[in-house]
Amino acid sequence: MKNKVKKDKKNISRREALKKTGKYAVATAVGTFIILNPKQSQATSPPDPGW
Amino acid sequence: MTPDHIVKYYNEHAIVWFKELNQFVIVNKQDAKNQEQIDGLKAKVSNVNTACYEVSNSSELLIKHKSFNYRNIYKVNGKLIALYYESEDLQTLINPKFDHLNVESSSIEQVSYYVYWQDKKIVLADRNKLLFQYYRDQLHELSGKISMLILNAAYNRHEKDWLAVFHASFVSIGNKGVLIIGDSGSGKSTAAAVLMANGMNVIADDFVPFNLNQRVNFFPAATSIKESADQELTVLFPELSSSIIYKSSSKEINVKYLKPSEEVYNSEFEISAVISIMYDPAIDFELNELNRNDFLSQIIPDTWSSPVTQNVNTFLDWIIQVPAYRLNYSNNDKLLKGITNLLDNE
Repeated sequence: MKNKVKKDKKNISRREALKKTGKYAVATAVGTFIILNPKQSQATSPPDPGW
Repeated sequence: MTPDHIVKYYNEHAIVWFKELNQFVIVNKQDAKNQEQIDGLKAKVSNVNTACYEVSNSSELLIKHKSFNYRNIYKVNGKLIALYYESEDLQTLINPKFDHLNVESSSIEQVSYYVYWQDKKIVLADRNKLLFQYYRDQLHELSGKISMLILNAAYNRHEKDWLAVFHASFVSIGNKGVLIIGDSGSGKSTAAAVLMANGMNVIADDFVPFNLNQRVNFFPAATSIKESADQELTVLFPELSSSIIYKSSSKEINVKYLKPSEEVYNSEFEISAVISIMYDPAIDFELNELNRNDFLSQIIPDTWSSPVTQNVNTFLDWIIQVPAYRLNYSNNDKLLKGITNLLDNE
């Protein structure tokens, strides 16, 4: 069972997924899982306050 | 009883949503076949963040003790919405992209919201109660929540009446279009503006509401154009050259706003494809299919999705099969042709 879990690198690229999610993402890869958190609240691009 | 999770299968994978955590997990298909495996998966997954700060009961509503000298009244889908600000700084955060919706100040609003400072936090309230409070580093959420309130007022709906809000641009021809996603600075808004100049409609930019019918609704916020894209776009939109510049001191970028070409509150739009866009001066035009896992990993963390179980079910049905592409481009003509072809073929 453990051997099977370690394999899947082809389709789920951890590094790439994490890289792409950007600064707002809270994504973590655990073994062969990819955890994806949607935003818990609606958001826009950050308005710039200039303060 | 509603289930505590939802599983959908695609290709050799499964995507699992856990209600309690409001999290999605991508896993190999064979690892999500039975309840035992799902329970095991849930045990390994822990909730990482809650981004929104709900108001504690002890916070007092201060709107009667504050003076709100800055006000905007917006007309959206025939409804008048007023936003009252304690200071000009706060008004400048929100108003620029809705400025074109302002109506004369003698109008009487149907809905009012108040924005003010309290204990180093920005409070968003209605007439009767505090709704949310935000720290200085959560301005994107303050702006997002105000957009949501404007959206709900415009369509007479509630938060549960939406599947998702995408941080993206949506451009259409007729009743279908493409959802353009990409990291900040990837050129989403610029691409949308280029397509708009060539006859396509920008239905929503930056804040794309996705309804229960798996369709996009129009959102009236203006498209923000950063200075770097301004010169190129001024040729396409002469009005940009005379529009107000909003200076942004921290990033040293000037921003201008381009209002939607028409208001289309009575239609809804099908998403024919999602395009992950990247402006790349070295590439003329390159459109490739996007791996589903890469797609999901990119779009979900950048999206507010409804936590209502039935909505998640509908959302997942859509997201595991919608055509998804990666686009690198620098040639505007090819961009237009490519998107038009994509819409014709769908």
